[in-house]
Amino acid sequence: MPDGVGLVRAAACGFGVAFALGTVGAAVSRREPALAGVAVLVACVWGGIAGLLALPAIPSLPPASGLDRFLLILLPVALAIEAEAAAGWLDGFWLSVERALVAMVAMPVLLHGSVWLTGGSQRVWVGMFAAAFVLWGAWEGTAGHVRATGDRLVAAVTAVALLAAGLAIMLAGWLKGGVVAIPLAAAFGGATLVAGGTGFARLGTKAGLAGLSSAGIVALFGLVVIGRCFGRLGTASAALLLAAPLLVAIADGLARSLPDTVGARLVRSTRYRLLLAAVPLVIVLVAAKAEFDSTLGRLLVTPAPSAAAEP
Amino acid sequence: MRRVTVLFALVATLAAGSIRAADDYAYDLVHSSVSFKARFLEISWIHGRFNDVAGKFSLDRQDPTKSTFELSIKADSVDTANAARDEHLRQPDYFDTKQFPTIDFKSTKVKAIPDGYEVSGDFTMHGVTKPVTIKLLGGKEIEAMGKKRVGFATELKLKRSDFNFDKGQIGAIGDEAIIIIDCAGQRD
Repeated sequence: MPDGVGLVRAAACGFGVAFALGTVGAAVSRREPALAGVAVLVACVWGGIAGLLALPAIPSLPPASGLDRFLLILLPVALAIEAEAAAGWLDGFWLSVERALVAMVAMPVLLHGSVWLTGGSQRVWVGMFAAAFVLWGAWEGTAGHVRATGDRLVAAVTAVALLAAGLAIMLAGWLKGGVVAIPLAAAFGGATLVAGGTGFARLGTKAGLAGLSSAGIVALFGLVVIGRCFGRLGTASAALLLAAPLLVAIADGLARSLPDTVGARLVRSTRYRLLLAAVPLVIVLVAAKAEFDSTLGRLLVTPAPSAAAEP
Repeated sequence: MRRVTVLFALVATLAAGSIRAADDYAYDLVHSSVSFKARFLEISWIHGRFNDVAGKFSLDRQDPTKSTFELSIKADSVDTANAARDEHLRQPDYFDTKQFPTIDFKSTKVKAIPDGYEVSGDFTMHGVTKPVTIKLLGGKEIEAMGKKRVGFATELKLKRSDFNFDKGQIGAIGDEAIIIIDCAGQRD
């Protein structure tokens, strides 16, 4: 378990590498807008790898745990699909098919070989089907929304939600599962800053932001699923963490469909949508801290001898 | 003709008896214990036990090499007399009990030694299987409480790092752990 300095170093590596490579990618692909989105996703991938190496938290090969399968299978596949989308290599229909297929197999892949599948009750299979549907809807909806609107806030909030998920999983007692989220969140954050703040926005491509937002949603989904199924992250916490970036996208989408009134402008405002995302994240973190203090936190503190026991 | 048939049946019965000389015992959970201890900060030991264990063993007293031993421990049943710590131990930083629900031992080779058996076998924990050799002391059968009973005791030293436990979690709780098995078996 790395100390605070190690965590900051890993986050700085993830953020720095993603930001630096993203900036270089922006410069190189200035005349090739189709590559701009791919470049920002590649920057995010290398940022994540750099951060994980800095921890160090290197998944084992062949993947043995849910965390290994999340890092080595689900996340790379999601990023690859979004790179295809950003580059325009496939049309919308085939991208939807790919996303649907990955959403369907995401849960079986993450839970492979575990008691959830080997002793799978009907309830578990219903839950897995529902989770696949939620993932597909969230993934497809986010990609479509951000691609159409260039909404920068979704990717930013997704990165923050990843960080919050990591903290919640750590506080629930799975240190490694939570720790890996920190460099991942930093890498998504660094790439988002480039895509949303500098070159890519000016290039007019929204593909980079769409790719980061939707791959970030898949990352968040994978993290909360393994946190819930292998760690002790509660179902409500997992749902709230996943809801935060989706609320941001849904609020924007709803407001755009409304007449241009003061209320609609308020709903679309960054401040309101940040508040909307902050509420579930704060609830999760406060609840996780309270739970930690009442359970695992006690392991770290040895009670002082009582006065009555003293001579 | 009838004498020949009886003789044949007698020979067949004796032959079956010599083929099947082993006694099969079921693991007696009530009178057995699988416990462990691991170093805490290199100053003391943390003790714990697994409450849910199953197993069986077959003892061939005429040819001990034909004996077999199997043990399956439910990792979820870890108990260190501290509920919060037990929950932590069940998580992926330690036993990862949802992914690796059991800790198993299955013998591959048995030989008799003074006071017991030397048993080699495959020990599987945390998804990793390693060959181990243990000395099972005991094996004397007695009859008590309506059953034939036999007991064994052994200790097994292992390193968590050999079984793909998270190296980041090796620190406050040391790498080396000692598993102490005191088990009784019973048969009718």
